[in-house]
Amino acid sequence: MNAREHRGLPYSFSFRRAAVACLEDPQLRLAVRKATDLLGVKRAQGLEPIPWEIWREKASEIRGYTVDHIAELVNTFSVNATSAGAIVYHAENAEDACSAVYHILKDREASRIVKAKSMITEEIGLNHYLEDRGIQVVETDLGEFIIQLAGERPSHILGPAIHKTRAQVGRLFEENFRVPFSDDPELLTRIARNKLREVFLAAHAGITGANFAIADTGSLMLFTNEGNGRMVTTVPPLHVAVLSIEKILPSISHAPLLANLLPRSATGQPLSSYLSLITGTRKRGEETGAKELHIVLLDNGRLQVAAGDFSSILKCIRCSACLNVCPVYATVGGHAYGSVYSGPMGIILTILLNGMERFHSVLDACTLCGACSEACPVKVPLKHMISVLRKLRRAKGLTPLTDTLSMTGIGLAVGNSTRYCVGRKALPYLWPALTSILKQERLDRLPTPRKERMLVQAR
Amino acid sequence: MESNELLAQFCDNARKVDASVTVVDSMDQAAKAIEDKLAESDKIYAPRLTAIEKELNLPESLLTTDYYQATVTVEEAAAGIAETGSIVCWSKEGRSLPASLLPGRHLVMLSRASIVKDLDAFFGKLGSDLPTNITFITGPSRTADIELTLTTGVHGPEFVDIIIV
Repeated sequence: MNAREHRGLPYSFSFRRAAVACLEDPQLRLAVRKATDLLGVKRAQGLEPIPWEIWREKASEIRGYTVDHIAELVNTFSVNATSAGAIVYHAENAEDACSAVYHILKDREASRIVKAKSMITEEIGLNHYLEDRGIQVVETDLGEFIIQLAGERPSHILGPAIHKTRAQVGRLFEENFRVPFSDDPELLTRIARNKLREVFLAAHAGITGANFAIADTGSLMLFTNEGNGRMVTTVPPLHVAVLSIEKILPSISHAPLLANLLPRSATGQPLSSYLSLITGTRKRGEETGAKELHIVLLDNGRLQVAAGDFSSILKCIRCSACLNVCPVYATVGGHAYGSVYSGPMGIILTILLNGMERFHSVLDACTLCGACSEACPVKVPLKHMISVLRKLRRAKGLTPLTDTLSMTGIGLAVGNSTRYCVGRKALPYLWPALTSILKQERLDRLPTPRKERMLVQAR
Repeated sequence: MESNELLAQFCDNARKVDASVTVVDSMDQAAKAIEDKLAESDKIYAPRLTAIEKELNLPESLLTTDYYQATVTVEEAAAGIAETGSIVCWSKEGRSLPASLLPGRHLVMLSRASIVKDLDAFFGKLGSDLPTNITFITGPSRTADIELTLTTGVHGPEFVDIIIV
């Protein structure tokens, strides 16, 4: 039942170790704190004029319906997207999805690929898969573009490159594009605009995710602020969209409510700069739309999650509100979670999709304060689920022995008033021994318990 | 809601997201409002698909049919959403959506009658025959990806000017 068992596994993620690495990077900490504070304020402003509780209740019902009828909705969506002109693929796992995309591109000799930011393609490692097979993919969201140049990983869903300073971005551009160094964000943005404009116009194909898919019309919904999503879906002749099956909304009549909640929860905007509703391929008489649209619907473990006790995590719409209100996330940032998904929803999703055995330690990234559950626009009971997962972790014997012992100790001490009084009196005398036995747990960071008589005097 | 109230709400919310809004009474005034936004060096792409677009008098010497080369696109929007300050462009009538994305300035004509209250009202009137692309445009293209500094005009237009007739 002890910690030795999971150490024997080929890879077991350690949140504590990853968090230490992030905590030792003052620049990352400052950037993440600034971003979460700012987005928190913006979100609060965005929610002010709306009947928040009523809307999120409705949104929760809609998303809950999707989770309960997921297989049926996949069929409805597939039928309607096909009749609108799209070609729909069903991929069971990451390998299937990557291979489907690769063959679509290879069969059409598409080698210049532009891509809009998408969590799902990060989840399946699509860029690496394609690059290993000789297909170059250019990320076109400014933050993703910077991260790709630097060879790093996104630190926040919304601002993947917030941990880079303007000077670092300036040097990256100087080295890669032979432009004079500048640390002016406006000028740097213009350089990126010009560079990427060439890339867009020469692209053979565009790859995107989708924020939502709509079952009864077969449409895709994409929210962006920069306009790269619009470029990727309307400039190249071939559009490949990869999305996980829980992104489906039952009906187009649900689109307005979710469109009202997603940007407000993310950045406080009433609507992102651009929202595109794409239905099939270019029709006769039209001047807009890809000539070929391929939609890869990915399961990658969702159907199993949908059938289990934690199905409501699939209601998540990836707005990142729970990240921005989380005190742990604001301190350590996205890199500390060892997975594409970070923050409260990331803890749950990572464990459900990648396995408790390897990723249970990410459960430590929570204080059970419950701010996430309050912020969620679709009422995913995040705090409750994390606490249930912790119980499950303990039942599986994965909780570190010291945690189990100290929690059992505290439980015993506070469960009964006599034990509490005795324990309270004894603790100051036991403290030196405890701190030396539990050296690794750094008990010395806690205030040293004072002897009771002094406590009374102090009052 | 009264049409005056809708108009006021639309103007308010569009300005909040950094679009410029001008309300005019006639097509002559509209042409003048457009001219105020143009520079000598501009190249204008202007589809003539709707009645308003056909009626517009634009300086012939600045017109181009190639929106890849254009610096400004002048066109009519399909609708305006008062609650969010958005305009709606779609691929109906052979309209090109990249044309409202590639140039640095998007000059949008919006008929007062096509302003609706909110997204619900727009989707409610949409019907089942969807065009390939419906895009809601809420202010200029923007990013805060470098040190959270808000910058406009990333991949899309830096300026969105709405002229309501």
